Formats: sequence, C-alpha cells, structure tokens
Amino acid sequence: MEIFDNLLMGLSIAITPVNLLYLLLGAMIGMMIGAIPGFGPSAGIAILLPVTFSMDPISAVMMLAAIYYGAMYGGTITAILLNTPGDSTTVASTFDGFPLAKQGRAGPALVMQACASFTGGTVGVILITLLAPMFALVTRSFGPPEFFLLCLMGILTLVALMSGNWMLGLVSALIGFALGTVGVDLETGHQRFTFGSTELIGGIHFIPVAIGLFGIGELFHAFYSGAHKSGSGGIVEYQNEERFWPTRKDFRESKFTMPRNAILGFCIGLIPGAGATIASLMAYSLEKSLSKTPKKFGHGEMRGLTAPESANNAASSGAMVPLLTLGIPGSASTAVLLAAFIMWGLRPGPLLMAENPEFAWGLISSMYLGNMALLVISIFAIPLFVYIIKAPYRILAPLVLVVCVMGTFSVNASMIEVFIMLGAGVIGFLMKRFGFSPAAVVLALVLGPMAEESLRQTLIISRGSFDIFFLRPSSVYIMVFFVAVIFSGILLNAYRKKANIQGDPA
Amino acid sequence: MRLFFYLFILVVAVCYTYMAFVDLSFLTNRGRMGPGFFPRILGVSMIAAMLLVILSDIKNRTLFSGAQDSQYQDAAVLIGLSLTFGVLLMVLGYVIAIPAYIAATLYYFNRGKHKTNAAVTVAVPVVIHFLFGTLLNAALPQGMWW
Repeated sequence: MEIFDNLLMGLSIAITPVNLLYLLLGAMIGMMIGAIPGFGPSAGIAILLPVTFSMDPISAVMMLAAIYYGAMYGGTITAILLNTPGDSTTVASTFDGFPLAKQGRAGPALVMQACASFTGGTVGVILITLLAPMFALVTRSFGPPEFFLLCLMGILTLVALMSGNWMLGLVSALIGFALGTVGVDLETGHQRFTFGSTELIGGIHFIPVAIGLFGIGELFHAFYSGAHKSGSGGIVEYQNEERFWPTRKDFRESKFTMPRNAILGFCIGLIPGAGATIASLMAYSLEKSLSKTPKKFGHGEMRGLTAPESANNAASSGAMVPLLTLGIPGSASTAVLLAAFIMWGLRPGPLLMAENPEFAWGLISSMYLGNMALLVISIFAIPLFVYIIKAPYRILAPLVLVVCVMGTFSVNASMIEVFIMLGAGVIGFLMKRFGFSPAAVVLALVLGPMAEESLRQTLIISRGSFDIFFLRPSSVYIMVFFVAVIFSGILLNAYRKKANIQGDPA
Repeated sequence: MRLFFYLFILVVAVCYTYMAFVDLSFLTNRGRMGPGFFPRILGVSMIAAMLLVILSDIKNRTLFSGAQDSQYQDAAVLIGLSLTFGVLLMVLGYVIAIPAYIAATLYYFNRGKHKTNAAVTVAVPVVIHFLFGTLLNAALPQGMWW
C-alpha cells in the first residue's frame, strides 16, 4: 500500500499545470528529436539540458525524462516512413515497418507503433514502481567497495556489449576516465592537468562534453555521410485517409505480443550497458520464433513492428531503475539524465527515494502521464512530425549548432566550455567515424570521479588492502553478477553480430 | 585519416601519462592513494590499448582505410565554420556572430535559396535572444569589445 500512497503523492506533484505543460513540451520535443535521423535521446537531452536551468528541478527533470522516452516514440516514424531508423534502437522496427508503409498501411503502422510504445512504456513504469523501492532497500547496505564495483560494472558492460571492436570501446572509456581526472584532487588538494587555468580547477564539466560528443558530433557526421544533400527523398507518403486506423485483426494479433515483449525489454534494460537496441532485436527474434507464420516477418507483419517497439520503450524504463536506485547510469541517455539530477543538487542512489520521495515519485508518476500524452501526440501529430522529417539537414544543422553553443555558454557563462564543446564535437565525429564509442566516454566521465572516490574510501576502510572486495558478501554478489552480465553480454553481442546490427546502447 | 586520429590519441595518452608520472605522486605521505594513482593506471592502460588497436589494424590492413576519402570536405567546412563561429562569438558577441555564422553556413550549403536563407538568418538570432535572453534570463556572450 505504501507504493500506492507514494504514487498518489507523486501524481499530485506531477499533475500541476506547470509540470504538465513541461511534460507535454518535453514529450513533443522528444518526439521531434527522435524523428530526426541520427539524433537519439542522448543528443536531445544533452542539447536541451541548459535550457532547463531556470526551471524548478522537478519540472526540469520531468521534461528531460519526457524527452528521453518521447525520442523512443519519435525514432520509429522515420523507420516506418523512410526506412531510416531515427536511432539504433529502432533498427528492428524498419524490418516490418517500412514494408507495411509500402503496402499503403503507413497509417495503421504508425498507430500500432504508438500503441506498442505506450504498452512498453507503461508496463516499464509499472515495473519501475514495483521494483525500484525493493532495489533501493537492497542497495542501502552498499558501501564504497560496492559502489566502486558498480561503477566498474557499468562501464565495462557497455564496453563488452559494444558492437564492433571492443578495444576501441575500452580506449573510449579510458579517455572518459582520464577527462574525469582533470581538476583538483579532493584528497590532497593537488591540481591535475589544469595547465594553470582557473576554469579547469573545478574539472571538465560533463555538459559541454556530452553536448559536443552527441549533438555536435552527430551533426558533423551527418554532413560527412551526405545527409545534408538529400531532401526528403524516399519518404513513403503518409495519407490521412480512411484506412488510417488499424483493423481489429491488427490489435488481436498483437494483444500478447506487446505485454510479453515489454517485460522482456524491461529485463534487458535493467542490465547496465545492454540498452534498448538489443532489447528490440531480441523481441523481434522472440516474436518471430513464437509465430506460426514466421515467413511473414520482414514482409509487413504487424507483430514484427509492435514487438521491438514495445521492447525498446520498456527497456528505456528499465534503464531508469539502476539510475534511480544506485545512481549508476546504464546508458548514455541515462548518464546525461544523471548529470541533470546532479546539476539540480539531487543525488540518485539508494537514499534518493527516502530523502527526496517527492522528486523520485513525482518523476515516476510523470512517466505514466507522459506515456499517455505520447500516445495521443504520436497518433494525432503524425503529420507534424512528417513535416519535420522533410526539413533539410543543411538548414537544421546551423540552428542546432547555435542552440548547442548558446546552451553551453549559458551554463557557466564560460567561453572555454564552448570551445571544449566544439572540440568534443570534432572528436565525437571522428570517434563515430572510426568505430569508437562516444557513449563510453560520457559514461566514464560521469562514473570516473565516482569510481576514484569510492576506491579511495574503500582503501581507507581496508587500510590499503584489496581483500575487502572478497570479504564483503555484497561485493562478492556484485562480482558474481558482474561475471554473469559480462557472460550474457558476450552472448548478446554474438546475437547482435548474427543479426548484423551496429549501434551503441543509447 | 584513421592513422592520424589514432596517432593523435596515442600522443595525448603519452603526454597524459608523462604528466601523471612526473607531476603527480602515486601515494600520499600517509601511504594512501595519491593524486597520480588513477591517472598513472589510466595513462599506461590507454597507451597499451591504443598500441594494441594500432597493431590489430596493421594486421587487418585497415589502418589506412578512408585516407583518400573526399567525403570529409563538407564536414570539414562545417567544422571550420563552427570553430570560426566560436572565435567570433568570443570577440564580437552573439549579436554579430550568430547571423554571420548562419548566413555563411546557409550560403555554402543551401545555395540559391536566398529568401529562405535570409529569413532563417534574421529569425534565428531573434528567437535565440528571446529564448535565452528574455525567457530563460540566461547569460549570452557579449564579446570582448562591447
């Protein structure tokens, strides 16, 4: 009953007119960003993070979270109409989404993907509601050794699950850790890698690096790949005709598909680094293997669209659990969300739900409302998003860059940070070009200082002995879990390679 | 290009490691983790990992792939314009830098669409001023000379 009381309390916070307005705004912006090919939720949150500075913390985080899961909805529109996934998480949605559109069923496909996303998102939030308090209770006994191991686990899982060359992922993570060491060493007060700059004493801020790597880097890469040269070529015309709505058969066929893949997606999302991409691909395979007509998959089967959609939205909810209860982001998007939490003076972790219940439950409750709003928006505002898809990249690019620059400057009124962001943009572009992982850099930049601090505390407690990691039951459990995750990660990676899909966990 | 990028990371990693060993102590006087504990481990790991990556690429003959790639031209122009925008912003402030940057970018990438380009060049600074300056009351770069 305590859960329902908390949920009601959260709803009373989330349902205020101002918060609802920001929630709707975030959902709309998230969908728009998701609809732009190449821009994932991490880029969207990073770019818009500075815009939320003057807001109330709860409103701001509700809006950023809405951008996060709104982008998951939006990414599918391009997958269906353009055969171009908005992000790696919607790759599986192109398999049957585009064939459906080519058959003249773009309308039903778009509505069904909205319903599947809603189911996935809502099942995910219900599971967060039930599981997050339990997770928080378990993790309250965690000390510095456990937190060090969790930080290590978060980043190494991401590296292990990275598509392509995992060594490049490791280098990316090490770069992120190295960036995290810039600034004053908290134990000794010694300056590290500041080169006498007063602006670097506080360290390299996360926001310009994230905006640069995700927002600007994506932009440069789009120009490299020639996206700016094409207009809206290849779009399957969406027609607001009488056959817009799905048939009863569509709903009947997908009635079990959506909930079962939502649960699968949520479980995959819980694993740090696993992400929505793997969840959606696994859901597609699961659905195909359960189907009596597997040959229809890939040729416009509605279940082939609803399964990955349900799973990737549930996975994005699942990734919120380690963030809220451990303070450990499992993906690049949740790493940016963590930065937002820290910026507002909130410390996600085992005590968040006890110390800031109005924030934690307000956020969770807002996700219920956000999913409902997104269902309505994504059905009735489809023409608007189609119009956005048609906007040429060459006009969008300078606008996005100006917003990124002004947003970065507005954080600390620092031109150094603007140049750090632009530099990170160039590095992010080259990293993407050569198979490195910008997501690992960002995650390591966030987790690096936490890992160093917790290792330091651990060694003080143990008087310099590393045996402490093997003497504490919680640490041993985490290590066992870690080994299991890495092992399952290798299997998942092999599975992804078999499916021939690229992309970092978003 | 790949080779240059790898070498760039390797050189940065070597410099980082050098500073970690020369400027920062591994342990404090009390025998605890010093400021150089983490950086030294990271630096050495980074160099080792980068060398392995380079060796692996030599073995797979992928180190020189993309060297003749002409696709970089547009990305390079955008990067150049963006960096110039940063400098202009610092010196002249947002009132001049934003329209100058947008006009130059659209002139290069959206040729022939004069009306659209002019409209975007005028509208964006106004929207940015309204959004950041008025609505969010955020700091905007005023430049050195104003």
